[in-house]
Amino acid sequence: MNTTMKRVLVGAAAVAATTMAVPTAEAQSETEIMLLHGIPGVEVDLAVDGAVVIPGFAPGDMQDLTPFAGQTLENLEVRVAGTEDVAIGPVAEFAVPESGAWTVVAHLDAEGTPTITPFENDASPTADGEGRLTVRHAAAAPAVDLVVGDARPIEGAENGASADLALPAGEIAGAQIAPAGGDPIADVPTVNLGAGTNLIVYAVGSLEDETFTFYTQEREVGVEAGAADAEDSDGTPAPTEVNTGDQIGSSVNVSLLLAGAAGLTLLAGGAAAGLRRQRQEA
Amino acid sequence: MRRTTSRSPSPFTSPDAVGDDPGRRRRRNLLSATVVVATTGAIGLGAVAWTAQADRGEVVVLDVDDAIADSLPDTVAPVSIETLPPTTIAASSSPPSDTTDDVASTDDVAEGLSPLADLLGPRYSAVPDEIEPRPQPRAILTDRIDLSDYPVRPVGLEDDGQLEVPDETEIGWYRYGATSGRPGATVLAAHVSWNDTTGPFFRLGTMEPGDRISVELTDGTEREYLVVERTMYDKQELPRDRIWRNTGPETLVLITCGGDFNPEIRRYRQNIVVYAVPVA
Repeated sequence: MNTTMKRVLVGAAAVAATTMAVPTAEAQSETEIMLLHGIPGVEVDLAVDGAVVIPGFAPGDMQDLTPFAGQTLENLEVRVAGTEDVAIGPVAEFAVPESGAWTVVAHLDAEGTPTITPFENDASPTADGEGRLTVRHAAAAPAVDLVVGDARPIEGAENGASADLALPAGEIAGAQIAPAGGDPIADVPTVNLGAGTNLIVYAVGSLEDETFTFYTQEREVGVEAGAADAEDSDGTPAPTEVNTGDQIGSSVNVSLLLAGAAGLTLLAGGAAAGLRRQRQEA
Repeated sequence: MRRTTSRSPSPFTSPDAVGDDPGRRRRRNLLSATVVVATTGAIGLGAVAWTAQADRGEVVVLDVDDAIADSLPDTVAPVSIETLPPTTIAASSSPPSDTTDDVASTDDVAEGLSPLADLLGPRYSAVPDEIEPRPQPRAILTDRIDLSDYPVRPVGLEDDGQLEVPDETEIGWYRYGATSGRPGATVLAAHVSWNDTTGPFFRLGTMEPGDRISVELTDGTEREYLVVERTMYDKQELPRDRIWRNTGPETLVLITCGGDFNPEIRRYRQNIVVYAVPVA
């Protein structure tokens, strides 16, 4: 994507500096802008220039802003829902990304101050049988690792960071979040990663205020064309091969072993039959 | 995530609506930087509001840029934001006078709600559903071969894409496939031989249609199956639509190696596959 956006600090007097290039027709057709309320605890109204545009915006709500792509919203205020009390802002100008796939997240920074971060979503297709798991740190918390069993596929992610993992499609259970290098502090909810989908997990809230939680967003990105047996696939990852044996010793013929085992079984069966006969006789 | 709204092209194409004062042209690729928007934006977004009113009930594509870009100069001197009128987005401003005839009634706009609200796309929830992890197979028993000494553990894929197979002491359950009691194929794989000794599925090739299999799950339940087929495939010929699936009829699939041994790569050339279906 040729669009860059800098973080816009809510409440800051500075005007958001944005550079945008003319989008191609193709990019424009795939434009999708979402706004995520990633600050647990408070339902808000979003007002633009004194009038409410998004009423009753609750934590975890995600609003499609695609119709506002490329527009600049002036005098943006976040109000406590149903009141004129300004919780965040006013922001002199907020530029909605012009093209591409973006999720604009209102969240807490590492110190717990509300901020807005536009995350660009990777809309490219996944490999056959795979999904894309994206993990985003949008919580008032220090740098964290993603812990899966003994592995840490994401390490040292700071607030505002986003990491993509290409994974076989399927259930992802038992993942945890830990402070960088530390012991796990939170369980990531079990999610189902579908083939050809981008599942985005947001860590939000505040550790200190015990509002730390996870929100998720799912985007269809499709699967790369060209897999040989794709027409036989329901998206389940298929192993390239199943190798379930090596030779026993270098000189032993397995079929002999099999024959031997069968013979042993016959013997054992005969012995067992004999035992039964003996019992009957006893 | 699919959007469900339909769109129609914006009817807003008249340059008259925004004026053609050459001093107000903004360069498209510097869209929103600083003040440009505060001047032309006032007009552009005023037009947005007008569009919203004119197209109530539909989501429209905003092409304010297109409407003004061709008639205005390339650059505008930056102006301090403080010097500009405070209200630039047009929630409360009047539509341009020469479009008045086209403005629809605003009676159905909720009190205090900006007309911009009508342009919004749908709203979703990002609060995840609570998903209980699936129960997993933890033991398998048959009336033909004794597997009671071999625990079952979940396995995935090796880095090179091969099935991960436990050593000769365990049976692997393919965790990207189905689990017992769900649609699709529950795949259990184990060695025929490994580390110079026999593996759990050493005698899988002796199983016959009609044999019974019982799978014990981590939630304590058991599932009974009846063997319906045993087939030997070349390694590259495993049928994807029968074995690697999470949809369709519930099937239990047991896999090991068999057939010829290729001494050069120290691997068997075939796989033995046993299919079983749930006992009603």
